[in-house]
Amino acid sequence: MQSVEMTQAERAEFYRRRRGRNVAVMLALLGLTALFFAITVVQVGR
Amino acid sequence: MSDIAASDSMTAAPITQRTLDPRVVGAEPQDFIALLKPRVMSLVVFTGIVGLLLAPGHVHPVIAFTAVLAIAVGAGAAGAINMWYDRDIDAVMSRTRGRPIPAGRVSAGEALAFGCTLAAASVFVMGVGVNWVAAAVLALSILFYVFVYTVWLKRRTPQNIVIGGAAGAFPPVIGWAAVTGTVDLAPLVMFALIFLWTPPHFWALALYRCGDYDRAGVPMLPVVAGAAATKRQMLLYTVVLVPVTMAPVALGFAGWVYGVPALALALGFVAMAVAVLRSTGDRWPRAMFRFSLAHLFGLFLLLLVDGVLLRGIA
Repeated sequence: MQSVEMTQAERAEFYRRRRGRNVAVMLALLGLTALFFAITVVQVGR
Repeated sequence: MSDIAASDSMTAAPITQRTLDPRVVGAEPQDFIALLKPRVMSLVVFTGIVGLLLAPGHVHPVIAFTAVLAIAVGAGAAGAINMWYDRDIDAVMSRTRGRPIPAGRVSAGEALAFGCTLAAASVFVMGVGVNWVAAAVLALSILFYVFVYTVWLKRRTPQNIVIGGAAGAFPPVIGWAAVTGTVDLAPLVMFALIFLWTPPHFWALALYRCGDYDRAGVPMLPVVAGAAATKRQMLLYTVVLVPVTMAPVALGFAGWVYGVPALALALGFVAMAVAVLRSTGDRWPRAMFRFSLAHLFGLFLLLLVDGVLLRGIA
């Protein structure tokens, strides 16, 4: 995808969307971490 | 699994985004969310929650949340793999050509990797966080939807949605198993409710999208057998659904708070099928499709109200 010759508008949009995807992955990983922590607390407490 | 309810809308990017070639600028996060078929997922999640809440026993809210999340993600993953496999026919159907893969916003490989990763993760989280019986049923539902419905039946037989519809009927069984660790008669009745509801629901959609399915070469019943035969089959399924709707009362896990309005809903579904049988044109099939969504949602809401709020089963 990056090897394609991009216009300035396309380049800006490419970076904006890549940042959006990265933020989404980060939020998913943080959520998963919190979920595993909560599951562990519950399982240990049984 | 996620085709419990067909979605009757196209997923399209806003006009401003279409001016930039998505194959160059890449996908938006919401394109990956669209791969999960969120509208279909909502009914899957709801029926799963009802199964979970009706099951006897207590489950910690964190574990219950984990189970519902795994059901939702598993259903979405199956939907993403389905979109990967069906990308050729999605591109020729007006209802689906705006989906992320045929629209070029997500590549086929990305969609497959996304779906497989989420499918494996959902089963793993369900197994580790909840129990392995629920995880096994979840895995079965995903595999059934992908291999039995999508790969094997969908393009081969007009009975595709009859057998394949079982995939969408698993969520209440998974929810029940998440609490009890077993599969009992009550969740199997809920399974039967969704299983018998699916054909008339899908065929109502197929009646007014017949041209789409014909162009795509998908042998839906209206394409292969014609509208009249399809309408007779729809009526048959709605009639068979009446006694199954009353089974929770007969088996003692629902009372008349469920039974009376559920009977009215079931008879209303039969009346809609009769109206479709007598009609020509799209008006009544469209009305029946909308009614079918409200019908299933209503039945499970009534089960919830009757079982949890009034009888205090959970």
